[in-house]
Amino acid sequence: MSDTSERDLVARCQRGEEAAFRDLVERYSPMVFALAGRLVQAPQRPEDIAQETFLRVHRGLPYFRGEAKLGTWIYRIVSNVAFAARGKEHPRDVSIDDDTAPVPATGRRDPAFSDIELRDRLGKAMARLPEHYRVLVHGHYVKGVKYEDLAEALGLPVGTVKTHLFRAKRLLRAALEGDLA
Amino acid sequence: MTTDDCRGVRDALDAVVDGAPPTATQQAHLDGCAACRAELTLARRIEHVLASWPTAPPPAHFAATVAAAARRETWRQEQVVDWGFNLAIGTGLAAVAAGIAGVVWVVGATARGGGAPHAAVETVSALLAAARAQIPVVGTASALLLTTLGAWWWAEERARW
Repeated sequence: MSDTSERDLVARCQRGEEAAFRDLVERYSPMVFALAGRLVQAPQRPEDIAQETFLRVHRGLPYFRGEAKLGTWIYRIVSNVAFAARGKEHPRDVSIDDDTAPVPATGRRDPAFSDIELRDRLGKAMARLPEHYRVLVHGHYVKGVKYEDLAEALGLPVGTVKTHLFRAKRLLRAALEGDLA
Repeated sequence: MTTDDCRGVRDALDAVVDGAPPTATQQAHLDGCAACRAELTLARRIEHVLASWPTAPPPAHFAATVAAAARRETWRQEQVVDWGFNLAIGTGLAAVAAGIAGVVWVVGATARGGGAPHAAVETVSALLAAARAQIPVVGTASALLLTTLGAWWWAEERARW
């Protein structure tokens, strides 16, 4: 969405046009569902995360001044909502700066395991990554989210985002390579 | 066994997975190192799985559902503001009424106790003196009313959006 149409949409929402808010939800819900679907696991439902995200957007819009892009702001909110929902799980995080920290391999060795099985193992390995890495990895693969968006949403330089992504992928490979060897 | 060559190649795997061609040295190492080839295969599979991670699309009418929930939330907030507004208005009016009653009572008492020829002057003087005594009460009530009106204005502005 261009900056002008984004500003116009925000201004219409701030004037109280419900149709504009519905338009905003329709535009950003694919991104929100994609990220929520990646970040939460049962029993949490992506739809609940998405709804809470847009309610927070609704509450915050009167104060939105456009310092960040709307999509980036929403990205930050959905990440916060998803992790708040998962808050009670307390995943065992490894140090964000320790790219040599071992992530235990999961399951048995099976060179021919399917993508579905790989996804299951990858999901478990992801759950043990630090939150910061999980947001980066999943956000990186959500359609339309760029390195710059991730950097802005997380308040990090673009170079740091790339470095952390690199480390996160290495940790994931370390967790899974025993399964393929 | 992992060698320095292996470490160098594995550091470059993400770039290769992203589409950058391996250098001749890296390719030669990959051709001769089964462990690094396996790591490259795994990196590509992870990339594929992450890129094709299944996520449910937004359900139909999701936007309308969220808009309705937002409307309900706004309505509940307005109810709280309205309740507070009404309470503050009632308290303010009661305080103003109490101030006026106080003035009337003092003036009435002065007039009854006086009976002097200059009753009119005394009445006015007493009225002013009583009014001065009631300034804190009336001032507090006025401040409360102004605050309430400010809250009402804010709530109206917020309700517009």
